[in-house]
Amino acid sequence: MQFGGVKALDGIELHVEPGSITALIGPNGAGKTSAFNSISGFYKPKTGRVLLDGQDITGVPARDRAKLGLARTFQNIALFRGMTVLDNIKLGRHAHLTTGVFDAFLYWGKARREEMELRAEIERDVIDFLELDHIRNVPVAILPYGLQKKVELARALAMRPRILMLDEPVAGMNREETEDMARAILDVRDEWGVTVLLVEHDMGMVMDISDHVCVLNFGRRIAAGTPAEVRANPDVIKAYLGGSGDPRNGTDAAPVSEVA
Amino acid sequence: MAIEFIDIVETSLAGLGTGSLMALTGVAFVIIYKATKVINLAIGEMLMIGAFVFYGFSAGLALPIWASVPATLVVAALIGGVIERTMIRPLLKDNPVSVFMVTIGLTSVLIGVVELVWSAEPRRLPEFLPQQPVLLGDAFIPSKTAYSFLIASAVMAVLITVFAFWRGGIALRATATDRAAASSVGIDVPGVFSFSWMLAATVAALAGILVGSVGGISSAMGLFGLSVFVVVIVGGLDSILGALIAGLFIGWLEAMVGRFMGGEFKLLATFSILLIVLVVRPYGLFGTHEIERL
Repeated sequence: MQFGGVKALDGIELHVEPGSITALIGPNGAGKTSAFNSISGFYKPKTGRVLLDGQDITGVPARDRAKLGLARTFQNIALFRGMTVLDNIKLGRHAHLTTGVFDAFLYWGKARREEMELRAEIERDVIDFLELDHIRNVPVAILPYGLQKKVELARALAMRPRILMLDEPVAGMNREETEDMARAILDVRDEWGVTVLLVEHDMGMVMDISDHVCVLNFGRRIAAGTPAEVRANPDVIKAYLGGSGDPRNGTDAAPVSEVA
Repeated sequence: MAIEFIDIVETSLAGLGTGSLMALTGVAFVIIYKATKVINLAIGEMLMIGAFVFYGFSAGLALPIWASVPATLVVAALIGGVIERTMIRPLLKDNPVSVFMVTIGLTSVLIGVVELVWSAEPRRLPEFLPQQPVLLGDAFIPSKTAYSFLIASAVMAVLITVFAFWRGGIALRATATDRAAASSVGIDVPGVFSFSWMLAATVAALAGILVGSVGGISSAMGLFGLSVFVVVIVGGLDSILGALIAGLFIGWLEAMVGRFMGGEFKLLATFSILLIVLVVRPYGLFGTHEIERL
């Protein structure tokens, strides 16, 4: 993965076990988001491959990866502002609806029935599950930051993903919101059997919920293993506490203003 | 000067006729804005090239009307698709202002193409609408005005229904709001771009055929687009219904002012309305509140 002459990623190997929660961490500029965007299809790596169940999906565009079961959230919230929470979440199902553009006219009844089923399913599985029922008809733009992050998670879940990719799910959140989100991520894994890959700066949260942690620095993988192994790794300690790393880890998430 | 009632009715109907064509062109503008957030300043010229393509088919190749209209619409869709693919999509990642500037350039390109192929001379389209004037009570309506009003209204009714009930409509909105998020949920973003430009070019070409059949065609007829910008700003840049209502209203207002106060007051009236709307409701009468203004 290169940007012009800059090598953002260099020979990284990341293996995500089905059903696990895997975290990608590293100081600022380590290449976490580049790796993440390569996996979700938003960047095309020059070399290297992305495999899903042993199948090479490197050339598959982002929108088709959604159909393969990859769902993602964004570091800077990417919700459809101006739409309600429910509309946002329903759009997550867009890729999976079987009635197409013109079918919706030809088979009025079928499209309607599908719409009703979709709505019922989303109500039950996503909105109740993430406790968003009190805000379902609120325009997302007026929600506080923490809830917007949660709506983004809900939209990704509505895609019925096999792999859920979260780009800094708790960035800029207070302790209570962080714990709430961490619990939601664990619940999603336990009850839906979804594989979770996340990029995160909040060390406490990463160490608490992850099964596997991969540490990047300057575009290279410097360590990988269980949280305990990674914490004890001298390279990791050096990257975070001294020498080349960014010492502000954990608190350097951009200050995010509450959205009124 | 005593104003006769019948005069008011006839002027109103003529105004609504022109207004329906402004509305139809406005709808073409709105379709592009709604899906791609591109302000397309070349909408008047897309209308013009549609009218000339129709001229080519109906007068040049002397095709019958039932063949030349569909042929024109297909060619217009292709032109829209080519414009999107070659001029708009490569700039997707750039600043919206550069795309906006490109559409200004596009106006000159389209005018140039038309003048190269057909020269700058004004022309008349072959007559294809029924010639018999329409009488509504005692009011006399020129047949072309009446039929173009009916055709434009029918097309707009179909488009409004489609966008209200079709699920793809929300995909267009999603694409306009956030392209990265839209593709993350599996929406075919480049497809939405192509689709909206092709549909808008088709609608604009149809408007061009109707405008041309009423007033003739020339390479300068894209100026019709200027009134259309007023229409879409008043109606709200992303509202099809807004374009319809504002189009009819502005067409009616221009006709009334022109008839009873004098032609020189037409633009004064139109732009006064624009000014008032911009002050009171900057996002237009029916537009979404958060629209960015350039």
